[in-house]
Amino acid sequence: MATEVEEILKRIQSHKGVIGVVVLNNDGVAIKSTLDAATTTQYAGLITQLADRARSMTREMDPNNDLTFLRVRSKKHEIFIAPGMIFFATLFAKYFVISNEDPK
Amino acid sequence: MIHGYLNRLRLASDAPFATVMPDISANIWTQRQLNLIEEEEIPGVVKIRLQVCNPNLPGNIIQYDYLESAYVFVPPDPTIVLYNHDPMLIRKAILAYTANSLKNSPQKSVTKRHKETAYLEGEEGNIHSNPPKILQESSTIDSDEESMPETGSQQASYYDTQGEEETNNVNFLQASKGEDGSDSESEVAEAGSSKVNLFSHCERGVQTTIIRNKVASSTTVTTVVKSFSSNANFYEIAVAYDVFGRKTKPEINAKIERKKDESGAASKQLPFTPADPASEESSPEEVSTELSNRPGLTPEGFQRLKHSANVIERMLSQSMFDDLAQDLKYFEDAADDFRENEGTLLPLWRFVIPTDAVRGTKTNSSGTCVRSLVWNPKYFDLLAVGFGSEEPDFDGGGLVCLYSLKNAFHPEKVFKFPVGVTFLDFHAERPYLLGVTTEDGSVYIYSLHSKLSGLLYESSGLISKDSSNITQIKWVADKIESCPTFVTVSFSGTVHLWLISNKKLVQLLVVTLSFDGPISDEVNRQDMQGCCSCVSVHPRDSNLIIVGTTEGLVYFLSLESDVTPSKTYSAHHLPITSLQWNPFHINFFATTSYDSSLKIWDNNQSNPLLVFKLADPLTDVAWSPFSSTTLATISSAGKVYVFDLSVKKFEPICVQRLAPRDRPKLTRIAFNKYQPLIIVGEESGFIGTYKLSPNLRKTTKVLEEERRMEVEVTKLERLKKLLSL
Repeated sequence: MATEVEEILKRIQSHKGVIGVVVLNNDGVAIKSTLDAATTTQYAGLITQLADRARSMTREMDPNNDLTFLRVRSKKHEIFIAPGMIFFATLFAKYFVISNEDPK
Repeated sequence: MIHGYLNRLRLASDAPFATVMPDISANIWTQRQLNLIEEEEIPGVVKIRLQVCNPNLPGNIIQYDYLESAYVFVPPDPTIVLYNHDPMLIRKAILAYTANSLKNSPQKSVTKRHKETAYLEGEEGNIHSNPPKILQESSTIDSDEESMPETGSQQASYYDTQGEEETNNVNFLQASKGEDGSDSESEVAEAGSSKVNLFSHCERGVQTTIIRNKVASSTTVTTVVKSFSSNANFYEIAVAYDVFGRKTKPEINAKIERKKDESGAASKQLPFTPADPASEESSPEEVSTELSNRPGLTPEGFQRLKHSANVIERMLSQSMFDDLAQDLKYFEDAADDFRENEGTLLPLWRFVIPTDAVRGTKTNSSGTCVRSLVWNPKYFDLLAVGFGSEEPDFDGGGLVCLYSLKNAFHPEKVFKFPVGVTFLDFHAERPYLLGVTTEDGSVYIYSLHSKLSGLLYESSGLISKDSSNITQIKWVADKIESCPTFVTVSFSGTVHLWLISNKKLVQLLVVTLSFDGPISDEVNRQDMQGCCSCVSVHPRDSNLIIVGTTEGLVYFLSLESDVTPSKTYSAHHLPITSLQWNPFHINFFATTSYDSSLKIWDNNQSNPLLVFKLADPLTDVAWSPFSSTTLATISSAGKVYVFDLSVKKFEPICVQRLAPRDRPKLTRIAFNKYQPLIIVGEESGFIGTYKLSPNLRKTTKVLEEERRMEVEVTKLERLKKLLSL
């Protein structure tokens, strides 16, 4: 299982134009990152907040709805944020691939 | 005055007393006298030079000069001051000026000036002093006895006199105390006429340099502050230990198992490897992957992570190939308006066989030829491709890849096989069922259902005695309730009907097709069997089956009637590569063959309705799902031919080269049911998607969709009538 995920991440990273991939856990701590430590921590903090807000917004509009992904396009870059699917026990819950997962 | 004195001294130069000449050359007069005297040297005459000098005058005075920053000699000043008197007179011209200035200035400043002037003149601090009055007489000024009367009168005439005898200077100097308190203002008012002595009173100001205060400060880089909070109670600690234990345990177990395996025989590798066995083999070794090392990552966690990673990959693909998606949706070739009866194909996505499958060891690698290509009946973007090889002696493996248009980088799912794949088909009603046949005669049924995914059934080639290469598989409608049924044909001429019932595959032999052509006498006729190369099941009525053989014969079967083929058509001389029922009309089908011809048949007639002779051997044909008269065929020279029989009966409306020249062979073509898209597989393992331009997808307008079938059928009937005329 781990290798599959690693493979996909490796494929994503090897694309021309992809600057980096960051995987965060539910606390917003980076598990795996291809960027340097400073940028990673920066992204980790900022993106957690944004993804949380986006998810809560979609949930509020329609409780049955859920955030599929979030794209932030700026002048220089584009950031893809993908949340997860199912909620499991709080301890293992959220995995970020530049992403977030729903704890509820 | 002083000049006169010196003159008199000179005149008296021959006076009897002589002086010692001082050694000073700075004095001009003395210098001149010296020169004069030297010129007039007369012998015999003693000249005594007299010089003005002051014997008491010091001759070696030194003073510090600030300009040169050094001590310099100060020439002594040989003048003697005989009389000195402070002036009390003001010139009238200056008086006029001061009068004006006093008029304009405010009263306060006037009083100030008074103050100042009074002070300068020696007065002591009384504000209300008399304003200075015009000096009218100067004759009484000098009170000194030493003054010369002549000079005094000369000076007096210099100034304007008004004849008054007042001793104005006295008034000027007097300070009236107290009396003038009330009058001070009137006197001040008079000040307009009175003057201020500009010589003795001047205002001067000096501005010191203004020191501007500067504030210089610096800020340091703000330290990053992050707040973190967490709970560490017993529950959390216990769970963390639990997770850690669970993670390390399977690694230990796997290590033990691996040691056992190495001593035992190599296990038979099951052909289905939906990536799980691969990870089982490698995970004991790959402890060092960063993700798997982290505590708290369970298989469920990985599942979700995988899902997220998939989403990211799709997003990346969609954003990188965004223009292709836009083209698919919106681009319409405007040139089609001007090109009558002709159309083009716009290349869009291009899929590749995953590289890790092609490389590798003999058992791991796969042939790159696209043997089969089929769209999923339910999802417009899902596509299954079977890779194998068309070479007869190929001993590599095969692959089945499921691609999605949403992810152009990598297939969604990959199934590996030890032998090359020959054919694939999706079940029409159960779009999660995928049937796969391979070159060793095995049939595999996969399920792609989200709840149950992977290989469901497998039949190895050893089950049926006369199994050889199963060439094609097609699903048919359920014969028995809820038993998926399919039909396979093989090179040995057998047509099998299979059922999935009671959780296993049941094979029923339908028919063995016998060869019905001219043979020589030596060979027993009954032993000859037609090698079936392709089969087609009618989409509307799955009892109607046509089978094509490598001898160029087409057999028509009906599953309801008895098993022998009811009709046989000798269609081609060379093997039939593909044959397809028309999706709308019950009786029409098309066949292609290596003899470069495309023939359109009516079931009822033994001769083809239409024959198209093209340039290269044709490998596949496909009818379009939106129009009963449109079909496309591909050739082994890399060209695609699209026909629309209602537009042009005898010529293709589009001929386009799709493959590069070095490996041109196109192997499979399929129309997408929902989008104006065709997909073409190549021998080199590339799969290209192409959008049909508007001219290629002309459909007849129908008022209600239900009538579409009728309309299409009538179109073909009309065509048939035309052709038969």
